Amino acid sequence: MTSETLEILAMWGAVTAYAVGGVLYALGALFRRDRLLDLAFWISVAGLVPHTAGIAARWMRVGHGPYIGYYEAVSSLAWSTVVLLGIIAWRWPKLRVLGIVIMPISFLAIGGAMLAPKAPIELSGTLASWWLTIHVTFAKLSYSSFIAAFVIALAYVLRERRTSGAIADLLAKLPDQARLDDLSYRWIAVGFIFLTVMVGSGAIWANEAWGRYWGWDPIETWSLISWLVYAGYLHVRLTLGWHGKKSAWYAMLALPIVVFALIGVPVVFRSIHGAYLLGY
Amino acid sequence: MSGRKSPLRHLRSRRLAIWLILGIGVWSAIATTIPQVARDSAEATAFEARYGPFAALARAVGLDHAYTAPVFLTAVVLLAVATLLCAWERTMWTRRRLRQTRVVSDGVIARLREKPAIIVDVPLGSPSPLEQAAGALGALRLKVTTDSNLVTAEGGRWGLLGSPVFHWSLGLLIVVVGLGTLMRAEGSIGIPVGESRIDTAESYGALDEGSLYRGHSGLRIEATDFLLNYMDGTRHRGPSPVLTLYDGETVLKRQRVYPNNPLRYGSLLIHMGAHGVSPEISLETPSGEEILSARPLVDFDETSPTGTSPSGFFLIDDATGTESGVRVEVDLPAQGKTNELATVSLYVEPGGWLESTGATGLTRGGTLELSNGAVLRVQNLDYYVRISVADDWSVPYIYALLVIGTIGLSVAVVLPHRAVRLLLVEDGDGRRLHVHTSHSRGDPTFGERVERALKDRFCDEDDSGGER
Repeated sequence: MTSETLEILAMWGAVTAYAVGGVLYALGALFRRDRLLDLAFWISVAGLVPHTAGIAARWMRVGHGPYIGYYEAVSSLAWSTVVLLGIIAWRWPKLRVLGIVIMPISFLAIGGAMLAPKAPIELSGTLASWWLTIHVTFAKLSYSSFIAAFVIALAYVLRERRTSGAIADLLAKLPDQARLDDLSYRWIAVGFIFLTVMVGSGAIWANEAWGRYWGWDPIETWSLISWLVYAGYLHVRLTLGWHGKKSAWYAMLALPIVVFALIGVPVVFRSIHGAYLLGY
Repeated sequence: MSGRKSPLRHLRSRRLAIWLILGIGVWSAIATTIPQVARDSAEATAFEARYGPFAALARAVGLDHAYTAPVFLTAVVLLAVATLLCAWERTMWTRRRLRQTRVVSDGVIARLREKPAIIVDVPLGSPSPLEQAAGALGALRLKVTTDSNLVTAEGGRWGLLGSPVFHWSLGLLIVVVGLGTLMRAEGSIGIPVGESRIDTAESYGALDEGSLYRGHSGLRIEATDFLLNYMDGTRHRGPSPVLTLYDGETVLKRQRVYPNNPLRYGSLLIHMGAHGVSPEISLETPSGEEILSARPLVDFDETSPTGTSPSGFFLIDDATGTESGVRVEVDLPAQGKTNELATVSLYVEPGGWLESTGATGLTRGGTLELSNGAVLRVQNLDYYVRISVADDWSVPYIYALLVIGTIGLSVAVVLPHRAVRLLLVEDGDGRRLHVHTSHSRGDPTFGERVERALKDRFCDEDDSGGER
């Protein structure tokens, strides 16, 4: 079996596990079965095994990490999101049920990646730098943190609105609202640190590669916009005292901006950064 | 006193800071949808033709040069001032806070006595309750100090410094970036391989100088060597020159330059930009004496049938001072950025003191005889490199502020300041602990954890006392 075949098989294994995990989460919520929810969590996390194997096989085959091209970038984002679910569940076991939102997101991400072209894109001279590793690692950490904050904020808002039914029963398993509010904020604060490192390392790298640390390229601009949006969140929370519902809605509305900056901008705008996603 | 706010108070307003942050974000987002004149003037013209009234509106507010527009620059300056004022305010607040946590005033003790946030009953038989409370708080990884009937406990003292450090760094970062932009110069110089150019404004093909730029270094930059595809180990680094920097005849630095490996010297940062071909053409008298040598820079052009853009040079008649232009074209055998098997075409342009003439398909040694008997000879067909030279003193300071700011932010988030004050109150109703807690992040669970730790300590004792 070639490493390419191994990679594709492993990736489809991960897709299947995430799909099954997502469906079991939904069924567990619908029929109010804790065992189904537990099973959903473990199957989802087990999906990381083939997913990691698939990423590793490709890494060895193409000679670089999962940074370049839509397939690699989005699939690895799905991987980091499921890892994040595992970390959340380990640190705060009651939050395990958040998989009901995280797993469909991860499934859609990896499913979308599997439909994208998979031909390896060679690292150009500009991309071949250890700054790439730092920049991309912190990008994934920040996006994953913001996804976690989004999911927790969503749970907060849903619980404010739903007082009965299957969803309400599921949400009842979560910690109290004040705790959720604080957790959402904490994930954003940590994500903001990662985002700052990502933007800073990107600027340093741009100076090394092109001789200028900032060029108002669309992707640079949108990463700054993401930073400003989350800086705004921290400000309204810490100085104007936005807590609870207002804070949760802000956290939820901020995520699409980050997702657009990562996936939408290279598609919509012609950018020198486009190589990482589209390979031009 | 009048009720009018001073401008500084307006700038310190937290709402203003938030509006500025979001305003700059929205402006930048809109700007990404509008072609920027400085970057792509053709696209900007097409945009204007297609969206007439909207484009006119965008131009009127400065969105066609969004990041140098007065609106944007004003917002950034205001944000810098607001950030620095905020940093000052936070520094003063932190100073006060650091003092307060060491010295507990009578007012604080009175508030603890009258309005405690948490009350924990102490069993009557409990020996040394303050010591036990101190033990419980110590178990929460707080540094505990006991004084008479008061216990103070604190954790994450460094965390108090995080926010001021972050805001100072951010404010100064905006200032340094602004100053750096005004005082920097960036441009490109084309240098035929084997030749050199002096770092002066005249050597640059394209040059962008800040209004406060101090002047070029005057150092000499030589393109010492060039590889069309440099291999760094197993990695293709692409076209890569060896550049040598001279001060007079003294070599200051020599280095191969490729992406992510620029030549750095003082505030100079030199990158490889592009390359092209550079035929060496000499002018010889009828007797064979070489009186002139030129190295025109010919760029690759995928849209041209020859694969390159024409270039040229002038021949000046010393006697009359008139000049004739020589157009130089390089014909590449196939599309590709290499000069292998390329041929040169020379055309003397009409209008000078020479008659029009031309020759095509010239290889090394090929000649074009001129009307005055002189000869233009293709001596060689080599490459030239177009290097990007940036002269910017601010970069190391920007890096340093980025690092310091990130450390400040991380400390503020990861090490939140936590403080507990606890007073033992004894009266006719019994003995109680009156407690106040504070958490810099406003963690709602901190007070709960403190209360639980204290209650657990005294409940355990109460239970065990009961068993005894």
